[in-house]
Amino acid sequence: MKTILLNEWRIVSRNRWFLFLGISLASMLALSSYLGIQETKSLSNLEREASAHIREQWDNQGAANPHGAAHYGTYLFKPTSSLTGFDEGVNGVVGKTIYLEGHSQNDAQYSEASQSVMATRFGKLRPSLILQLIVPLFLIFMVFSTVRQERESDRIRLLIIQGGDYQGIISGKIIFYWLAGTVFLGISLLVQVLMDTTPLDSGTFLRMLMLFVGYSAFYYIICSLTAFFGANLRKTGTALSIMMAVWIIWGVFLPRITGNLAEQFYELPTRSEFSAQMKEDRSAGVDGHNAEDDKIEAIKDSVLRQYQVASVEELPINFDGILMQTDEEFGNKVWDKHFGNLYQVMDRQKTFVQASSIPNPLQSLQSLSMGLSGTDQKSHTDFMLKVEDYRRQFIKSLNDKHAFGGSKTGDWEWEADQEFFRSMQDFSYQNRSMDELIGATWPDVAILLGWVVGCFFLIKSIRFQL
Amino acid sequence: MQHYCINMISIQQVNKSFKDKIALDLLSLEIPEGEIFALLGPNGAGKTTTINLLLGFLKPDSGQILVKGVDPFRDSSEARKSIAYIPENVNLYPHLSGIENLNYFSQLAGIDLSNTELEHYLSECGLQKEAFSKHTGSYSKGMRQKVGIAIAYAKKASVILMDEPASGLDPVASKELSQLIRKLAAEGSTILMASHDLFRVKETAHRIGILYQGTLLQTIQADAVTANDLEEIYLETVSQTL
Repeated sequence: MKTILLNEWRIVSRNRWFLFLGISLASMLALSSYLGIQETKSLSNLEREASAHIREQWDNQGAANPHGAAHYGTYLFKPTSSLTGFDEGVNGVVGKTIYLEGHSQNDAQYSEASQSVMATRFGKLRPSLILQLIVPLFLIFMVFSTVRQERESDRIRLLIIQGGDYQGIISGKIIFYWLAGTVFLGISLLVQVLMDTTPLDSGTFLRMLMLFVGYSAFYYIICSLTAFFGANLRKTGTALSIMMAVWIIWGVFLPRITGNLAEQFYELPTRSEFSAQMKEDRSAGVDGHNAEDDKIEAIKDSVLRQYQVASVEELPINFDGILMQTDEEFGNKVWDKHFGNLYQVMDRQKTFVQASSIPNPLQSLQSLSMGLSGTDQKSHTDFMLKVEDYRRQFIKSLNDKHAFGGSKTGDWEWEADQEFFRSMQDFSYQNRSMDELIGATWPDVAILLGWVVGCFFLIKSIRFQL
Repeated sequence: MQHYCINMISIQQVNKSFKDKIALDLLSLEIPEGEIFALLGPNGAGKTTTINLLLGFLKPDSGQILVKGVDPFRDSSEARKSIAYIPENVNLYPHLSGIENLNYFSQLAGIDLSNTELEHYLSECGLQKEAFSKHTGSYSKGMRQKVGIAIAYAKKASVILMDEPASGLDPVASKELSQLIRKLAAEGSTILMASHDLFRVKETAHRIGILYQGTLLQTIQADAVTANDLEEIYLETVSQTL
């Protein structure tokens, strides 16, 4: 095997086309990795600056009415993970800025795609795009060329008679180009490690390691299939056409077909339908700002009983704050119901797409790559859920202050001091843990490994025929 | 007259057909150690099929084939240890030099040679020293054939199978090749060469078999005939079967 690998290296190192294409690809990868990191850094800096600015405004708002502050609200920015530069995933199209306020839950807004015509139309040149589509194409041509040359020049008979085992020769070529693929992958990840100024923590390292394993598995699949068709089919045109068809079907058609089918089978409501349904359900709750609301009476009776007083004016607390929180909690239930359904449908879509990746390991790789980079839909949903948790705590703190901070019912002029606002905790988002990630990505890993095993046996089945 | 004792190649009553076409019809042939046997015949006579059967790439429909006592189809890896093959066109790796090609092919055979040894084999096979380190993409066909013979020589193969080895070579290169083949045989290799070049066959081989439409029509001692006699015998033998 070592002999075959070294010989293959000698041959390609003197092949100007290989060198030209290899160096071009490596440069493109290094450049796209560098640009991705720079953009990630720049976005992170912007987010940090904006967060600090928003926090400063919040801290320096002075004494203010807590419910007024809830209406005033605050902004949160989706943190950019260090691997976003490697695989942007859905990050380009989902929003990054969320406005937090009382009474309503807002969606993330201001995606990059919404502000960039180029990004919307063509997507960005990320290392993942090159590694998922361009590097495999390069490997297909190289493996195909080396395997076919041996057959067509009839050198293969000479090699076999000299003692070379046909399977061994083909396997050697597969391993050589598989290693070449992993070098491209290594370049990209190395640039990521060297250029990223944030220290490489164990979590990110583990993700990068899994990315390496996932992409390596895919390259083995590509090299093996190409070698299999190249070695077994008599006609060169047929063998190459099959691999090109595989590349197009895997890269272009199947992802769109499965995506469309997932949307057909597990339909999501339109934005307007969803808003209308939410609004309708929300209208059944109490209106904290409307003292005439019938539903308020029951709550009032309960509170009066609790404090053993006859009217809200006699209460030692601010009944308005309690109403606001009741209103908020009802809104939360409505949100949980509708968004819970929405996320459930999204989960089903994801499961469907993962399952339908069995005939398409590239789709599994794409799913794994986005998941590990923290840029898939699941990561975004996780972020949105944690933001909602924070919003609930944030608004509850303000409503509780309004209710129990010392003011009386109807006293809308009452103000909490600046220290109270300064004491409120910032939102801090932690990426999904490795356990969660493994739980979400194991079908992708299993499909890729299944293909690797299948390809191994496929190569084992190769026999030389005249 | 040389004396041969052990049959290195033994073909007994072998039949081989491809669909409806009979390629070999009850072919029997024994080639002892150190002999150069030439299979002479036109295109489609069954020469290449015979070589492929001996290389173990084809299975005979019936009959038995043994190379140094081993069935090359059933126990191909064992049989191939003692076989070298020189095709009509020795296709080397064009980006590698003569030395690198010889080194790689020898390594596949499990032989590690020093640079001096590699140069020795190439030199013995008549390759000019200046060509050793040049890419074989720039070699003439004759030079590539010489490297092919060097590969067989370095392997110390006891059986060498050659399929039209002199085809397309100029007279000088062709004569050099004949001398090389003779040299290999003198060192103990058994050689079966397929050819349709009467003159070259007469110059090179010890025995000549006329193969036509899969049948071995006649076997002739090369030193018992002149080239003209051989041509007459060949034409007469072939025309009788038409």
